[in-house]
Amino acid sequence: MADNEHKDLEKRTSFREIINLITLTGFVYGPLDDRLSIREALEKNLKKPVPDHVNWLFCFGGVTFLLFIVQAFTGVLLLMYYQPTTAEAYKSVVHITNNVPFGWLMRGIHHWAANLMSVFCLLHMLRVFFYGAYKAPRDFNWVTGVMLLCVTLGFGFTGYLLPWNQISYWATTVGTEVPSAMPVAGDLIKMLIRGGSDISQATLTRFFAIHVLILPAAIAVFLISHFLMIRRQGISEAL
Amino acid sequence: MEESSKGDVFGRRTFLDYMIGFGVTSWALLTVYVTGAYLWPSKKSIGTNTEDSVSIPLSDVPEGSSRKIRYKANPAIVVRTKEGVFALSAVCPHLGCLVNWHDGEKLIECPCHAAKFDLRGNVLGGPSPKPLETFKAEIKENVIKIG
Repeated sequence: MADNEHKDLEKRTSFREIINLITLTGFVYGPLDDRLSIREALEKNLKKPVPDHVNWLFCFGGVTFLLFIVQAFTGVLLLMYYQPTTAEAYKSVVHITNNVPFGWLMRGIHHWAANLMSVFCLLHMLRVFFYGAYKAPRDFNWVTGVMLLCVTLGFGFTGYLLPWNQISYWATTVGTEVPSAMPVAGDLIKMLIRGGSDISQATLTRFFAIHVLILPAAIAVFLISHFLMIRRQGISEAL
Repeated sequence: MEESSKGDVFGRRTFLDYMIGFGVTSWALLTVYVTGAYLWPSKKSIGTNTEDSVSIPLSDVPEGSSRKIRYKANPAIVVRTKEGVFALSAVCPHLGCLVNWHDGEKLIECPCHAAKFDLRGNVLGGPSPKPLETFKAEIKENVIKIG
């Protein structure tokens, strides 16, 4: 009986070794680990215990980040076919949707994950607010969080114009009209955002550049500081 | 509960690890497939013409001029002279630049390393290791038919 069990264990161990060898873990935990001690660093991060009072509401921030990764991935793929000119933008979006294999899927995921990202941003904020987790010493993390919300909404606002259809054209017209209500500098700000007095190729180019270059760089900076701070300070206390 | 899982090699945690690993791997493979299909240039996604025969209006190529077209998905050059119309591959066999027609010198020249060809594709000079591929071209009423 005991002998049998021993044999079983041996079999299973070798099976596991084979699986490990042909997978990434075999490499990461093998030759790479010998040199860089990756296993230790990974286990420290992936198996870090969380406090007992943590519940599902604490997932909203992570879900927002996951959605951001989805956006970055599908966004890069959409960039491979999208053409940011007034003549070609709408055509290229229709082309992606109708002709490119799984283009409908990439566009659909990018659209829905964008909406969900804003929703989960707000849910995350509500959780942090009602748990009082924004208070010192985590107050600076609330500030970076608000910056992240602004960047996320900026992504939404600039991305909305890119398909260059009726709704995006008029939504951007109305949206860029808003700052002109401000006294003194209002009209200047409107002109600066639009790159002219009305929505034109200059606006599309600007919004495209902001959407695919400036905001991704900005969100990376704020995400890194957001994560470093929460790692340093730990999850907030129970209610 | 604690005791029963202690000596068990294939315990709950290991089982879950494998399930997660299996799930992540299948999801990753699916993503790789979808992304590959999305990026792979197909007839439908890039929209290149792969038909055996291409026709362009005669008025597009006045006598003494040339025009670059796409023939069987590759760049080709159509030249019209007094002697008629000629269609050749526009891809220089040397390093792949697109050749141009020089009406003054009556020859085809590559802009990159000055390989020279005549209208039958023969190498007249320069580094090209072999002649340009030629295609059948004829004038039919008001169109030039290639292939």
